[in-house]
Amino acid sequence: MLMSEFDFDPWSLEPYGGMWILLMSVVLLVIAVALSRMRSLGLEKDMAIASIRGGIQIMAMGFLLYALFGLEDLLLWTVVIAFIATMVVVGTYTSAKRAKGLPDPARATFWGLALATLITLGAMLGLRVLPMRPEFVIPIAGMVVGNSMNATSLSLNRLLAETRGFRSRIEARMLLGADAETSLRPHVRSAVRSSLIPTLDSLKTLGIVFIPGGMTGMLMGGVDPIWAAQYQLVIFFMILCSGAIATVVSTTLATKQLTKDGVTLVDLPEEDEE
Amino acid sequence: MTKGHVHKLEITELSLELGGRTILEDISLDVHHGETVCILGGSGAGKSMLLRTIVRLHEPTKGRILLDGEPVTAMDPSTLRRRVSLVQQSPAMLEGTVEENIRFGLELVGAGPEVIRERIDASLKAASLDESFLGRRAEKLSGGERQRVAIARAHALCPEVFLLDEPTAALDPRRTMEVERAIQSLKGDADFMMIIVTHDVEQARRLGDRTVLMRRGRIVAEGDSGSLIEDLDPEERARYMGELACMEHEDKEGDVDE
Ligand SMILES: Nc1ncnc2c1ncn2[C@@H]1O[C@H](COP(=O)(O)OP(=O)(O)OP(=O)(O)O)[C@@H](O)[C@H]1O
Ligand SMILES: [Mg+2]
Repeated sequence: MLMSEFDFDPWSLEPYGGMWILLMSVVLLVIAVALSRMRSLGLEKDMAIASIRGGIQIMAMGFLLYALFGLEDLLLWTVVIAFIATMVVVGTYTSAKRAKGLPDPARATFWGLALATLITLGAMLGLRVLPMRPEFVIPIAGMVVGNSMNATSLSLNRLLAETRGFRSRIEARMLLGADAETSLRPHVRSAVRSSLIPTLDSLKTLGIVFIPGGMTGMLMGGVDPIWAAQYQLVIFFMILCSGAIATVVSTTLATKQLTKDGVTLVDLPEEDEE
Repeated sequence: MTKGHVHKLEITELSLELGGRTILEDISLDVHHGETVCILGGSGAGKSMLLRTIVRLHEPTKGRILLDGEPVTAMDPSTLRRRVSLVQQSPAMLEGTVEENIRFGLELVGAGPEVIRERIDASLKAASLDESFLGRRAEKLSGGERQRVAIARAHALCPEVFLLDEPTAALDPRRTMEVERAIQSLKGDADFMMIIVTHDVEQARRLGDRTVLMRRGRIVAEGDSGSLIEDLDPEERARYMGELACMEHEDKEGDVDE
């Protein structure tokens, strides 16, 4: 397996062992909860629930991968694909929640995520950047889907907010003879731009302000740091590319939904809290 | 840019429902070439919605709107909106300068620099604005100035039908006179058809060849601009005058908001 030098025992209660580190890191959680309590942020419950939920999910993922890596080829790849499809579907609905008000938000987010994942992973596998091995494909697919999901949520949320806020200006463009899509274009543009800015900022400060999780893992796994750096850069390009695809596709579909047959702008229900 | 002209705008039994509410009900109205029709009515009567429906910002639930016999729903929306120009009540400015606001529609139809120049000059004049406005940021203008920019940018496209929604509501008396004069001169041009929403009976009398009175989404009276209100039965007339008083009150509150 990849991390051959990894000889820590997941079940050990000795220092540095799997059970030990889980128990000890609860200290960090306690600090966060205490801060929330002190400043009345009201996030204690959320923090506890998120930790338990996230913990169960990531552990389940760990066990699944553990089981997976022992499977026969055909079955293995069937499961890998099912795995990625599940990520896309979960991402679709998570992101769709940020686009409430669209007639069919899941449709916009699904095609964005699906195409972004397919094209980015496909290209990297085809160009022999990414080895055809589940221990590479699954975590990287996870990063691609996860980041695309965030970008899609940001862009659709922004697009809807601008459509609400600039409704009369959008209509003014339509009244001067612009079709509905042209009238929305400046807002689509700012929605896509704003959703890619966090990724761009991370890329700009890569290695200085932060060393991403992927590289951290590789370094800990004992991989050559130079190769780890090269690979991290590749991952960032994938994130940028898939984010661009996901947001362009989903905002394009959202634009279609916002303009009934390209004639009128749909009535958007009032925005709720978020 | 050359333009044709519309001979007849025909609205038949038009109804509009939005979110389960009836906004317009059974509206029938014909407007002919060269004619100016004023729409009077209290706040919420559906005046703005009627104009918006004509240019398909809303799809009617029932009824038809014909432009020289052709249903507007069969027309390309951009073409329709260039031929029938709606200047909204408190119109939104586009980003950038006044000049960019006027250029926007002209550039969409691929007008050349000379035509654009010429149209800008003509439409500034029509909206009683002067050259000094061209470089100013449209969003920073006062309500009345914005109103005139909206008239100018619509006029620049040489529409065949002009729909003006309370074109002088935000103007002081002097500007009102200027815009009215501009509207008069458009009328003098006679190649126009106009529907003007107003809540000023006197303005309707000055500008309209004919006036219709709306209440609760319906047309309740139609007639000669000079005598429509006088001809109403006393009860209807009292109700209308009451609504008018409310509306002026609301306008004042609206000014404070801005
Ligand atoms: N998008 C919408 N959805 C549902 N109802 C609407 C919508 N826009 C306007 N209305 C309602 O339609 C009715 C008619 O509104 P409209 O703006 O046409 O009134 P108006 O006669 O122009 O009044 P005012 O003189 O105040 O401008 C109002 O009751 C208004 O609340
Ligand atoms: Mg109105």
